Amino acid sequence: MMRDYRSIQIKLYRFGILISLVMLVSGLSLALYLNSGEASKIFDVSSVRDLGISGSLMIAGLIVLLTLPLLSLIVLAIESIISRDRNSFILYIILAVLMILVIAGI
Amino acid sequence: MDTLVMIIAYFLTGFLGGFIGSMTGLGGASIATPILSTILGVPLRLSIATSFATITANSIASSARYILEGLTSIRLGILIALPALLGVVVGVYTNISLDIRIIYILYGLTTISLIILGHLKTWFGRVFRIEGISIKRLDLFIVRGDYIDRSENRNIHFEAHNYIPAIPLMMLSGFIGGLFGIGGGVVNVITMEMVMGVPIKVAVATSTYVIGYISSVGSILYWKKGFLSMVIASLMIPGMILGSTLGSSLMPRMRSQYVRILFEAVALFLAFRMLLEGLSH
Repeated sequence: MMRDYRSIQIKLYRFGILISLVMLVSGLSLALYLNSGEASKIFDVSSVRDLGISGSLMIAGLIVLLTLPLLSLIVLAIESIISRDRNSFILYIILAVLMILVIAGI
Repeated sequence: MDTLVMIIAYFLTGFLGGFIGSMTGLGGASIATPILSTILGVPLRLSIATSFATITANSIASSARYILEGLTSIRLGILIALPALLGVVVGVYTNISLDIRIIYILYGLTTISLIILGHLKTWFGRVFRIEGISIKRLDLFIVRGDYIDRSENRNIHFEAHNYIPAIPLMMLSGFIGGLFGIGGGVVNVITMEMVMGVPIKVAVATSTYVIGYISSVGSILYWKKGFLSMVIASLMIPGMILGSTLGSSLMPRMRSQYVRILFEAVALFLAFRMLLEGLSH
């Protein structure tokens, strides 16, 4: 039963690799944008937000990348509802809810 | 530091972390964090959080390959990710509350212990069996699966037992992960192989899959606390994916044990640097 879900997870994870490449491009452009005198900005998380398209793209890329495991879990849960695999659904949903609760800080 | 040098340095850190990490079995962050903090001068908590985010990407990239090859047991991965996740939360909050010198010292000691533990794996498994944890009596959750062993070209069936004894070990793995921003692959693999009776190939693939869940949650927690450099992560992620892909494809072809020992010496050197950094602060 579990093997049926593999393809969707592989697609999602390959999408993650693509996001990593987007992040490289945005990271490169952002790093080049900062001159050596402002290198300390790299450690200042809040300042990245003010650095234009590269910064926004990077934030978006990182959010997608870090939430991809959670997203894949939700997709797996939906898949298991469709295929009426109740045991797997319970397992996926417990982990997904736990992850959401932890991330939300509850 | 010059911008171009900085870009190359962070990319190389990711590459070396991925390459040496996969060669030694320690994982990329165990190598990348000491390089970032003791050589490149990045603050320790920022190094830990950034490496943690980097291994999420590395786990995703490696898992895509392992799932395709049918080596990952998704059900087993989810089961062991549950206790590990709780450990990560405790680990992250412990890190934030601890003095930075203590983290340096603990980091060095943990990395050294993990290297030793990797070598004592067989002994560890023997002790568990001598203790007499009955496989049948503790079978509340049995995960069954099969995979194709390409070297033997046959389908191998496996059963994962002993979920209950694995819970504290996975919590420990999660705690180590959260505290030091590492995947805890050594503990994961030992737990699955030695305690649960999972074949090594499945254990490695499933551990990689689990690391994706725990590192994503851990790095988001660090991010929320303001300890994550997106620029450094963006530069390190492709380097680490490249390094670990190269390392994991070269590793099976390495005939000499000396190569592994050489890389372990590098990992030990970095661990001692962390230890000294903590003692000299």
